[in-house]
Amino acid sequence: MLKNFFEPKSVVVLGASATPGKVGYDVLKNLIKSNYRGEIFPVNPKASEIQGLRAYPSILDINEDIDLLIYIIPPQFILKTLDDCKKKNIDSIIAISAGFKETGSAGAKIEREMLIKAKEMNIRILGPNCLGLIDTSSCLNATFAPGMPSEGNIAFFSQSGALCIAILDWALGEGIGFSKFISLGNKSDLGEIDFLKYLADDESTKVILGYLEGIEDGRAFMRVAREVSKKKPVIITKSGGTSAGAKAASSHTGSLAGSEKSIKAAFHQAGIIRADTVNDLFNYALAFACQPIPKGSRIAILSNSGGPGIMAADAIEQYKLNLASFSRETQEQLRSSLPTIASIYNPVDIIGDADADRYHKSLELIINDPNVDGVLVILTPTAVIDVQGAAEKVANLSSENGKPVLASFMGKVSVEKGIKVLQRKKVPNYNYPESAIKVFRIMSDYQNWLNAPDASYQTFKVRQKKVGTIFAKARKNNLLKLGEQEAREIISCYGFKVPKSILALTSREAILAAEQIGYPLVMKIVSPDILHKTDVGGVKVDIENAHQVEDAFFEITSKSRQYLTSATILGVSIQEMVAGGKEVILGVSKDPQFGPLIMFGLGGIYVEVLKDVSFRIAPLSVKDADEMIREIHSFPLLKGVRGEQPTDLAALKEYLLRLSQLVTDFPDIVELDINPLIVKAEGEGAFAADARITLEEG
Amino acid sequence: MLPLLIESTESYAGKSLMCLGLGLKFQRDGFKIAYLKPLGKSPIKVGKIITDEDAVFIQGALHLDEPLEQLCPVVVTQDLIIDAYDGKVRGLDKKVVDAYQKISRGKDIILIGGGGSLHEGTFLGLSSLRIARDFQAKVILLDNAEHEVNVDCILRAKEGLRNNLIGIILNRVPPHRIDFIRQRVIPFFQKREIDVLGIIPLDPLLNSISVRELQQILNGQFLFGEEYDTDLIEKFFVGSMNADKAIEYFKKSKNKAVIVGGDRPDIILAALETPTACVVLTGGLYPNDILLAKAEEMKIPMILVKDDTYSTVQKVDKILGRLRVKEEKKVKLGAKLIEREINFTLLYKKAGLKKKRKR
Repeated sequence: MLKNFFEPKSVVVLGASATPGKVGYDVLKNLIKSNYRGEIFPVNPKASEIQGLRAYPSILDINEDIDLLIYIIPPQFILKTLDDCKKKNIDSIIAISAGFKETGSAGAKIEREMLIKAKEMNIRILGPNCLGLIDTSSCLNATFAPGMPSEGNIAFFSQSGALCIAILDWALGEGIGFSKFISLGNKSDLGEIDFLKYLADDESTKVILGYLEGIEDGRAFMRVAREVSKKKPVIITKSGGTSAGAKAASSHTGSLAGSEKSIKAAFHQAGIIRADTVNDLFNYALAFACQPIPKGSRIAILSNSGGPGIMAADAIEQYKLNLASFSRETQEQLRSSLPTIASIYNPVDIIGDADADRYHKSLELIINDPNVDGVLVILTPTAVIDVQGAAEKVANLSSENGKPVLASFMGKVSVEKGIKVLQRKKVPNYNYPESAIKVFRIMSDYQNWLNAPDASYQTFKVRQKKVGTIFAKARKNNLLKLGEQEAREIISCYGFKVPKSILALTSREAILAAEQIGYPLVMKIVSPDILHKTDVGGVKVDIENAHQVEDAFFEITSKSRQYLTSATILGVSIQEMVAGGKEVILGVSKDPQFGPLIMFGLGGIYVEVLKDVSFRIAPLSVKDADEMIREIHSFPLLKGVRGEQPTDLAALKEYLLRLSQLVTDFPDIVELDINPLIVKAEGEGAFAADARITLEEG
Repeated sequence: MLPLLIESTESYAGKSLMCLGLGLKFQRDGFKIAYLKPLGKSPIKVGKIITDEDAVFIQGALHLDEPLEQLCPVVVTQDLIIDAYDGKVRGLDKKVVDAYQKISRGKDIILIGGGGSLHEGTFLGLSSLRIARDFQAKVILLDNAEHEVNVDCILRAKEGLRNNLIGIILNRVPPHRIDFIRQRVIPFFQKREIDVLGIIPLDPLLNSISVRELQQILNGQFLFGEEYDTDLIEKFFVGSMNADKAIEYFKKSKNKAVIVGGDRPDIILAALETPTACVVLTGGLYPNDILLAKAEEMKIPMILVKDDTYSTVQKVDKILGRLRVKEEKKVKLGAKLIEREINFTLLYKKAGLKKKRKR
């Protein structure tokens, strides 16, 4: 579908220039210099020949078929150009020119009109306001960047053109090759989703990298990414995660950066590897591009010095990997081949006088051990070591085996030539062992993602119609914030157990209700104006007798009036007190880009102060729900510590899934809190003691 | 014995403080005083008794001996409201009469705290109009003239009360309106046989709110400065401009509270560097430690609230001018203003009272 962008048989450069320093000059020069095999047609009404090629006054003057047009003239000509493209059957445009949406309302208007017209004409547009794109396999360099990367198997798309230029330059220095290089610009038409789809089936691409500031359609992005990431690793740096970054991103791209917690959840659920920095992005990319993915998490360390080996071992624990334990056979062989003072256990220290051969011998033994899934080779430049020789040996062994080998040749001047050898032979080298271990963690996560069966979803039999009726009625009455009474009914339609509850208007009614439900009790103010009931003294627990009911009733109703003189008091809810169990909170808030974001955490200080919560985007798979529960730091408290009984985790999981079903069925829920959900001991279920729901306006 | 009903044209006009100020003056002039709040609208529990906050306040301030049940015979609780809707409430008037008889023994003046309109309480059979008639009370009508004089309400009250209305008091009059009121409004009322007994000027201190009250209204959490909770706030500012502008704007007022998002260190600093009574941080966003240290250094309380800035402002707005005067400083000032600004000679004459010598 985007074939003409990457493998066009002919390219028009609209706005080609003979004047060095102009974008139209650089683009044409890059096209010519990159040995592009197709035909190039420069268009410029003021010249008959540009950079040795015949120039045309307009697109319509070209008699040949054209696959791709590169637009480098001012924005105001874009609509006319689209007409010409239609006449010439051109369906692909790279709009490099700036001056559109990013410059204000006039530019935005042109961009909108351009998009509408292009859609009508079935013309696809990359950009505008972009650097262009590069395809190394078809030798197409349709950018104004200085320099062309070498051929490789990494594809990179970026929302920042400037970052593209910097990375291209850096990649040239590091000898990193690319298959495709795409600058997305304003993402007016084509965006990350289109290129993800294309690159998924692109044979020359093994790893997909992206730099994004904003994601347009979060749900579509997740859907596509989930499929693509099962075919090849997708590694993305998403900036604008902090509030300062988000501010900068919205003024830079005009799009919301998206909340950090939604992005984190979305990436996790879609199998996208998140790189926090551009440095990580390339650290990860190199490993995936050059080495096989480890089958497990058992890592061996081979080093000629103690310290770095220990640091690597620390990192293994920190990143929750396993330090491989060698088979007896490997241990024996290492013992017989290494000096007696060497350490033959992982991390293997082949000591300071090790030469290239000792590296070779040890690595060969380690890498063939069935208990090892990957090896990190650390080298410090001692006086005796032939760094280049060692690099050769390590690299040769790495390519023979199906297991990944990463290197950390530490230092600068003395290891430089060795690192060049590693680069050439596709063994990624990291300045510090910790970075390499982090890469193993990421690769191992990706292997787990590949191994994981397709997400399974569970649906429950619920009373969806009834809930629909309740919502419709609420909407009709303009009641968008549903209080406990309605919210309880709604969640019980979706299978939540709720404690017995009766609404009392007077203290006498309260006492009658109390007798009916039985002590002990909880009493709560019911008022649409009071969201934080405890804050206004609107909740009393452990009510034991009629006398206390009366007292509590007076106190709750008069206090609530006192704090909010105009609060509408609908009464006091008399509720069965659920004894024992752990209080957790289930919450939903609708993210503008990704839809319902479900939150889980332990109640009280764990959520409010420690922010110990987990997030996933609905619909939740069974695995998602499971992960959400286990991910929080306070999970051991749910599992039971110091001889406590474990809580009913199965019920908790089921409730998360039921909640997911509710918000998926009713996407107009913008906020929902079940707080607290009281989870009782294993087998005894859970109770939603309080809930509130807010519907979307409009 | 004179029953004197203090009534107002709207709620929160300052009746309680007026009762207190009048009561103190009457006591000084040698009168024996009783106080009756026939219909208590601010339920509060004192020991096992449900009573009214105003009654408790005035009982203490005027050193009255009668029990609270007699001072406030009917308290509007949730139960009473529902019962009244259900038609189950009867005989409240009798309760009031009983209480009145008990407290009035041996007294010269019975101050009766009325409602926010002559009709208030009709629902429970206890409207001010009815009480005024039943007890043949003289009535003083208090009007909150901060924005407009409620001329219509005052004229209607005169129609209903006739000569029992002995005069009106215009409360919270802004300084720039005083001349207008003297030249135009007073003569207007005089022509209609309505005496203006006093004009109480708007006072920023009386209108102020304490840091503690603010914290309670906003359900805030003290991050620092709980010990300064009696400091009074007269003005509110919202910090949403840039820091330079904020300093310009903040330095012009003292005794102010600044409401600002917790993530705006520049504005918070501007507030702390200028004379500020309190900083309210919204959005549940904690400031960094440097700012807390600065607040400590400047002795400025900092309150953290969960609400966003707009909701916080709304809550403050709703409550301003509606707070019960409790602080001693404010009570003293209020009493002083009442004594100074009310024409007691006229009041006594109209009420038929003769000044006694204090024993």
